[in-house]
Amino acid sequence: MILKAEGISKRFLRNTSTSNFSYAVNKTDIILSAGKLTAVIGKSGSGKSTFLSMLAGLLVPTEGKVFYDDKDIYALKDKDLSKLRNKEVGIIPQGQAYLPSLTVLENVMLPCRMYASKGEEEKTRQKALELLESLDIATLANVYPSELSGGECRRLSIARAFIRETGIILADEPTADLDEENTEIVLKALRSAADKNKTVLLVTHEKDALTYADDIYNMKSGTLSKQ
Amino acid sequence: MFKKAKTVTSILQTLFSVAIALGVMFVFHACPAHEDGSYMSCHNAQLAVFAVGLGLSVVSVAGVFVKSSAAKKIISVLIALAAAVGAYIPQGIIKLCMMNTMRCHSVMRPAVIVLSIILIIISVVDFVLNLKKEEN
Amino acid sequence: MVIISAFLSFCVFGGSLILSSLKSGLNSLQARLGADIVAVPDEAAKNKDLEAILIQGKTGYFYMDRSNIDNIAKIEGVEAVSPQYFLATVSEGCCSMPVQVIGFEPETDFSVKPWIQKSYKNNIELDDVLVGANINTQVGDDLMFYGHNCKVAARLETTGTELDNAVYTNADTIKVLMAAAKEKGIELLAKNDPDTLISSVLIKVKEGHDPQKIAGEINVHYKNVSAVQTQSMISGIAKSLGGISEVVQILMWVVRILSLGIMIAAFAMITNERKQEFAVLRAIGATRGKLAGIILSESFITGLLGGVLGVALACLLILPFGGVIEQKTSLPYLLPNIGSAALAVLTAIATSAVAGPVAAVFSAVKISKIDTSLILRSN
Repeated sequence: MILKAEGISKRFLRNTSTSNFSYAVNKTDIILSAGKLTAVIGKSGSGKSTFLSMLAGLLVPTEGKVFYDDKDIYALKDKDLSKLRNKEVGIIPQGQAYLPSLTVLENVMLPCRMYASKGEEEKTRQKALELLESLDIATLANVYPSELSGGECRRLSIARAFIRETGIILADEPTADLDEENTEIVLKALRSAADKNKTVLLVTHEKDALTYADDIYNMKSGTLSKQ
Repeated sequence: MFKKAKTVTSILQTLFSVAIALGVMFVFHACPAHEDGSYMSCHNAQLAVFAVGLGLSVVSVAGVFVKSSAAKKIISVLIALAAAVGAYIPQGIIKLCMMNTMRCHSVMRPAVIVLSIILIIISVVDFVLNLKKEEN
Repeated sequence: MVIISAFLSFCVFGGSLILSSLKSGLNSLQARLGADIVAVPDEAAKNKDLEAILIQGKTGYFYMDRSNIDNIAKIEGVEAVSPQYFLATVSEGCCSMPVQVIGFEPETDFSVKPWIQKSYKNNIELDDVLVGANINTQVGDDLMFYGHNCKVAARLETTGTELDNAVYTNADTIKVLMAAAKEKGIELLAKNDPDTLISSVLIKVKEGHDPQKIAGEINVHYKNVSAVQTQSMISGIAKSLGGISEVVQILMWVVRILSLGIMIAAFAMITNERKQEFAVLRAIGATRGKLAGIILSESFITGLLGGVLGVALACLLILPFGGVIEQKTSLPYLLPNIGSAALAVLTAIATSAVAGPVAAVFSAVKISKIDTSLILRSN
């Protein structure tokens, strides 16, 4: 799947000395192709996460459009955009993002259950277990996420992002707060997804991640530039 | 989570057992003595309930300190059964006064029944919690 | 949240149960009356407990000459008259509570018989007694009054009043008991022959005649007799009930409003704490409507669970203590029929179940508008 952004920017209302608004993301274009891992690198507060949110369909741009293949996602109604996001986008958010009342396995299965057809439960369960196995956390399937370490939580998020076999994977600082071993596991998983023809975007401030990327962009004070 | 819940149920069992024992003697006691100091038959019911309450208290306290799930389950069953017997004592086993408006009927008996039912419910919950631990 | 819902339904159901029981008691009392006017000895009319003795079965006795029956029967507008006899006694088997024995003449009675016949259709023989629902005896048991043995012929239906503490018998039996009481030294009977005494005359007024006028006539023409309208006695009790009812209704509304306020605040807090969860759901494809739906359905379920719990607690804590409520309020107290009780249960549970979503609506709308990207970033 091709993810294209045309002239997107994001403006927030703030009281600054010069104007009432500030641009988190200046007007920018980008095309993300299938089979490639694109990294966007920049300092904290440079606008990377805002940029990713707009591409994910979670934050309406102040101007510009975002396309999944030829579909203008922000022209869709919330119901259709939500379904599209469920079907086409796997998001790995920052930090620990899970539902604490569900087990690890149930958290991973969640995207499939959201728009599930009858009779798919067992197939989903098997898939989820395989993903947990591939990320080396299968033994934690029936544990509650509050009992997991940071690295294990991140692997839960990856498994959940991969379960729908979506065309797009968006990862926001997936290796923040992780040790070397877990960082490598996460980056390898993202690389593997790109190799399987997914469109992968990795937003990070870690330079080590760049060795896994096909294309590298730099985000500085809201302006995106290709490295 | 289960460990905490089981501690809570054990403590509640103790509290309600003590409430039955002390309550029946000092709060929801039976009819007072005659002027000549003699008691009516309901006083025997009060003493019997007190004895059951005392037994319940001892068993409940033991339950707080016991670690084994099997032992805790047995204790819960014992408490539930004893509480049921305790509830049945007034009027069921030992007849109370003839008038329903007298204290033994209007206060003692309903209070004993209510506390016993609550104690039974807590014991059932405790029993189930001890089952769940084994499954986990 | 379940606890707050349980508290709400406990108060709504508990309050409704107590109120409807008090109303049932009053209705039961009204149904027991057949008479429009009761004539009693003049000294008895000055007794502050007269009302309770006459219509609620409180213990007490007074006597006047039975010639008053014929005198009153002759008054224009009087349809029927029937005497009653009161005797307060302690049954040797009955613990130390005094028992009101009420005698009536089955041939002329129009007040007590219709009620008694619901439980006992046979003739009341000499020494037969019919006991109120609060007296724990079996049919066929013996009861001793003033050394005289009587047999329990039936146990009567519950009225929710002190009539449940009374014992009924026919005029022949009570005259025997009055004679026995006289031998035991009861002062009021000492100077008179029990055969010539009655305690009161129940008077039924003809259609179209004014009971107040007839009562006035009795009071004017018969110096030793006072006539009291039963309706005025009932209205006194109804007034007390009205007062209690108002207080309970106000308290119930205060509870409803407070509970709703607490639930709104609690939902707002809980929803705020779960923002991260909702952001994750949004990120994986939940619509805004679905987020709101989750909050509303959770609030409905907690409301429903709390409602059932509250009703169960109210049943456990209020139903067994009806006797205490009756004693403390000094008002008739009769549990309502199954239909009314079921309606009160459903109303209380429905109130809690509906209160949940109503309280959660603001939070549901707020959560549907969350800035998912901001929340996920701020983690």
